[in-house]
Amino acid sequence: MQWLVAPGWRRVCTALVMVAFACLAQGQERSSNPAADGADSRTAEQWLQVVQQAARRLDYSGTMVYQQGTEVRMSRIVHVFDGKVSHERLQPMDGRPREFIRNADEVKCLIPEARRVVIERKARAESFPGLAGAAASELLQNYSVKVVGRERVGGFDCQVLEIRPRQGDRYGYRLWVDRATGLLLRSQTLNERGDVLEQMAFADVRIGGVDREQLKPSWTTDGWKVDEAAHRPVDLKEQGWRLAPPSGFKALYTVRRPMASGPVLQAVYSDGLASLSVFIEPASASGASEALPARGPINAYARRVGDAMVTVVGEVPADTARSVALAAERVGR
Amino acid sequence: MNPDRINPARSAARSSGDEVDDCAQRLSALLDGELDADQCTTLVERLRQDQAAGDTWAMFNCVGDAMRSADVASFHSAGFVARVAAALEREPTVLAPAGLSQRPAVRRWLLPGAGAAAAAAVLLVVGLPWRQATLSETSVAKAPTGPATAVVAAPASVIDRSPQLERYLAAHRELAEPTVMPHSTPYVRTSGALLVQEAR
Repeated sequence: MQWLVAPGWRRVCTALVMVAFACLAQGQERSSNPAADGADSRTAEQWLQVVQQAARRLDYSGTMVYQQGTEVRMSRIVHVFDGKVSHERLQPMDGRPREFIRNADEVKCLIPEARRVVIERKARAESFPGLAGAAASELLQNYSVKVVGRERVGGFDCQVLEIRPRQGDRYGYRLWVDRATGLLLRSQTLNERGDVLEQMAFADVRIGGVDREQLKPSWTTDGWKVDEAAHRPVDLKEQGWRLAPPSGFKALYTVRRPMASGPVLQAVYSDGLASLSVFIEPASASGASEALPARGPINAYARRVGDAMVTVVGEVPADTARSVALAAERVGR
Repeated sequence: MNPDRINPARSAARSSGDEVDDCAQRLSALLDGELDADQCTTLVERLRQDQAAGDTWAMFNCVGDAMRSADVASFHSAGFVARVAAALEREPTVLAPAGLSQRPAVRRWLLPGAGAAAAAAVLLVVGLPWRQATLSETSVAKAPTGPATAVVAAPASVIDRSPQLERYLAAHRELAEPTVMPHSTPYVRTSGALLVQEAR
């Protein structure tokens, strides 16, 4: 089995937030300042709460390594919290020079060889706390969380958390969390056999004391062409479709976006940890139903529905991708 | 919801009673994911060489797919097996080292529990071009002799789909990440491929 992945790091963090909300909602032990509690006495749920707070509020810089199969990517990352929102600069260290500058929900992608800046704004279907609040209990319905050990990662004394799906329709995760600060230092996505499908980890990280000058891009972009990424929010039902994601999956975005083949409808769902996208576009003459090979934790299934091609892509097991594709149906036409 | 529960191929194999061909039974078992790795290898080898077995396999898959979706019958044209065999022949050996790392993912489809028709589709039809398209970005670029010929020669519909799947993958990863830290994680994985592409 190749190295597969865990779902995105951010998704993990989001899930942690959700779990934290769930704990509060369920009236479990509540700590006004969990970070101040003794690390030894924290429950798994409290650890998740700590991780969530740390992810948002800590300043840090470091090198993040992403591995899936034989693929390894490294990126420099700088994160600063200004008291209200996060600011981030990400520099992929492989391939052509690029930089991503994020302020809150806006991301600027700098493309020096084209002297262009592409701005992507992520207008979510719901504001985050609302989404988290709604999905929290469902996340715990679909996953169990426990503290499984203590290991040293990158020189940091880490608590190891294990998040297991209650059913086989999604993957599990293992997290390494710095005991001192709560920063997530490594995450892995695991299949039902425990194979690592994908992982992300800090190769080196400095926590705190980040100079804000490090958030500045490498290039001055005066005179560069600026484009907006053209995602247009749409209503799925008005578009004539009904989709049925697995239990616990909520709609994050439904957008129409231009792609090389023409405009494509994309609906994105997440249960807080796993996510999948459903793409719908006019079918070509050769379109037919088919499963597509797994790539890390990613599975895909394409299905022709009338004159449309429905393709499910996500960090979910193959059977789950297929089920979602098979359940897609036209409505109101 | 779970069309694989119904295996029309298995039904077909059984329906002919005592005269059921042993090969057909094994093909059906393969469809059901009931064979172990060695048995799979043996059977796939026979499929390569035995025209009748290949026809049976194609028929089983067609029946299964048709039960799952009425739209796919056209997928299995008469020359299907021949084209796939030709594509297999053309698969360049230069891909072998990188291909090794991909094998577990492909084999997963053959394990019990995986969709049987899916296994067939992956192994025979979609797998190679997808792998080539994927690898072309990385391994192949470093290889002294690229697989360009094989890519061009493979069925057009499959080739057309692979870049689109790559775009889907990038599009998924760039939107699928909820807004918590580190925010930029999707770009760790994609290097913003789609944003860059849309900007051009």
